[in-house]
Amino acid sequence: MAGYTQSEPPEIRTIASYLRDERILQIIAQIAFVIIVAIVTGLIVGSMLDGLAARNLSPNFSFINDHKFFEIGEAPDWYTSDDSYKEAFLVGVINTLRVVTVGLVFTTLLGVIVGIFLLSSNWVLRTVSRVYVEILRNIPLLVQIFVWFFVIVLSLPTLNDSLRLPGEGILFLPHRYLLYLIIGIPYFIYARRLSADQPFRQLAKSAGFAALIVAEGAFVLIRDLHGQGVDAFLLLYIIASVVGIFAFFQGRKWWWTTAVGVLMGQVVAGTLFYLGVLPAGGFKPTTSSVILLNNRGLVFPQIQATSRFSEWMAFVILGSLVAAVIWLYAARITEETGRPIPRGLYAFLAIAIGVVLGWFVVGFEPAPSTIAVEQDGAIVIMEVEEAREEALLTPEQELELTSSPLRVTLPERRGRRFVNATTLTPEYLALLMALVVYTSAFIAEIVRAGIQAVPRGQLEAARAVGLSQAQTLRMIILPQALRVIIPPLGNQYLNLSKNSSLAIAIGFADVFQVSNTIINQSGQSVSGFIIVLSTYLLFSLIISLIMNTVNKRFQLVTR
Amino acid sequence: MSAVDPILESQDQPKDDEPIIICRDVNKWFGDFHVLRDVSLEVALQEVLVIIGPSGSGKSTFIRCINRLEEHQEGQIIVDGIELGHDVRNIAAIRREIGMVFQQFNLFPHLTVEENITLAPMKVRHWPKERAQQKAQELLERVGIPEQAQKYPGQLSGGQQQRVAIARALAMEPKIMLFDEPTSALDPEMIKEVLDVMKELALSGMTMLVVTHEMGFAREVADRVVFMDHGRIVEEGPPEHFFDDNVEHHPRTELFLSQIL
Repeated sequence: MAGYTQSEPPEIRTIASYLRDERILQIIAQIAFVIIVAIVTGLIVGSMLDGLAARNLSPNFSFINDHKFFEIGEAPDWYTSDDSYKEAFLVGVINTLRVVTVGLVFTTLLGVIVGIFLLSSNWVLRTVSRVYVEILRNIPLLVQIFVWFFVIVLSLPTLNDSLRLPGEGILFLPHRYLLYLIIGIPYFIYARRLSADQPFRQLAKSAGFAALIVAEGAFVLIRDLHGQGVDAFLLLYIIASVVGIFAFFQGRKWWWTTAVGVLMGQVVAGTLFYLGVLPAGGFKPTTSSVILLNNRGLVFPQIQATSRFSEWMAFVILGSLVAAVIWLYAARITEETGRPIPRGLYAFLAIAIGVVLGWFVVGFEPAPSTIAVEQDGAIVIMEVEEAREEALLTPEQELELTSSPLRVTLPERRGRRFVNATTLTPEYLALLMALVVYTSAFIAEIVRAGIQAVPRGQLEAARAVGLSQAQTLRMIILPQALRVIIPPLGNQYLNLSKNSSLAIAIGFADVFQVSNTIINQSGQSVSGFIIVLSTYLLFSLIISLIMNTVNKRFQLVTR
Repeated sequence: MSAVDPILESQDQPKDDEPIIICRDVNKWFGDFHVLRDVSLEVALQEVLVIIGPSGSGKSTFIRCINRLEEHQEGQIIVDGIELGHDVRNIAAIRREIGMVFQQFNLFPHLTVEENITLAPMKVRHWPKERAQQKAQELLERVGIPEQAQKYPGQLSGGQQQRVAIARALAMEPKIMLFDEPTSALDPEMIKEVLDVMKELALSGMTMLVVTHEMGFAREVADRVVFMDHGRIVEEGPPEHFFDDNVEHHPRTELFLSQIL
């Protein structure tokens, strides 16, 4: 550089002492820190142990094998109140896992949907979801759990007035739907075969559509004129006619063809109506309730794996393997030839074929007609029907006496409870709903922020190179949004799993509630809490591990 | 020749070949703000058109209307015989024929350079992967960075990123290329490498619409220069006309040129 003259370099100073070497000082500082932490921890733990020993409370884990009378409101069948604390604790773990796993799935679905709604261009949808988020995330979770339990679940109808699905008459199938098939299928085939001759195709489309709509109108008219009178549908019918006639004179392409279609349909329906050829009424199968909801919980059918389940699973697994092969092979063909293949559809079909084929093949061999049962202390071989009538079959035997791989039994009421059913208790429902809904509000915000974090330019660039909307979403927007979404999403998953310990407030037998009872009964507070702490720590570490692994896949490579 | 209505001109003297882009009385509003006012313009095949003008003059909005990143509300835009309307298929068909290069590059940061280039040919044009990769390599050589194929955009300099963006647009083998201030976000020394690529592209006969402040590029490469202000085409003509001090310009053009040159 100009203006600079190279002068003699000044005397170079080397390191005077290792104690002034930055690197060595850092190492020394770290070692010192570890020593200090170890000493402090040792002192605290030591004095704690001394104190506990003085009161004869030294941590020891042998108490978990003790047996005390311990009733748990919500436990699997194998648990009895005479089991040891170990089993009781295991029941708590199972209950916590039931809430957490189901909760994570539902809260994610709900959160993603609400998050997308938050960005909707539809004002109503956007505002409603904004209000949802603001209300839910600003009320303490404990309060929400109480509201779900005492205000919502416990004020559901009583056992006798249970909400039922399907309700009476929900499967009513009017005869006229048959007519829709008669109109619809030929029309569909015809419309598909039409060339790209646009106006004509438009005409066919709107004619078919209008014919279906107007047929419905005609049926309603028939029923009402023969019966109780004319309902509001007639008004709609007249409005549609007026709009159709009006559009007919507008002369624009789309409107015009639609109008022609509507008028055509009206002529057809009007003729049928005049001749009175179409009967009202329909097919009404008898229904039995599959799902019941009341203030004692949610009841739905019991699904059990029978003795043929494993054979059927073999078919399902085979179908899945075929699907995987198709998936990979189709991807290779697309790579090599560029031909797009709907591989998702094909893979799905392969699995579906495995499931259906397996079901029939496994069920081919008929169920045994006789069975050995115990009657009056002796083993007797008798007809299955007979044994069933005399109520001699055990539940295990029932599972061997069906030809299908799954045994689905509808809930059946016996006094104050349901048999052959899966029942979710009010406590479980309230806790699950509160956790799902509360966490979904946070997830919605995370999803919204993640999508908004993708620069608008990415969308424009994707459009400019000609990608479709779905391709843009899948290949450009989502991978970049997930990068932002996943770390905070993991935090919310941890929150949900830890918040599940609030179950104790409404008496749901989760791991914390059960452990609390164990601690009270046995007096082993230190050991008890060590177990509880490590259980939650383990849950959290597993969730963190999964989320970190997923997160690594979406990291961006930069300089 | 100053402030001429190009439509009247071109209708009087029919050309040998149809123009590839025809805009007639294009109007657009952002809310109450009238961005484009009666813009009429025709671009011939293989023509290089440079659009200049102060910021806010609507020049970017105009070229974004041509591949429908923005919607025009009145008037007609016809590209390669297809009118841009609300028909989804037409929009898709036109976007396949038009490449676009953005001021901010807008490369896909989660994909490698090669994947950035091959994505659209494979997914939109249904090319075999091998063919798309071959094309990507050719294009990277053409823009002078063949060795960067496996890197991610975040690992490249701004100039290199913009050249990848040009390669990405060219991979679809478009008939028309739109450049929206391609050098405005670049360091001075990187501007040249991008302009060199654009010059080469112009010489190879690509139809190009370029919004830029690079007057040197306009003077050297453009077949025609359009000056826009307040959403209107104020003046247009060959570059010699614009950069010749002896020609009398529209006062607004005069002011703009005096500030920028």
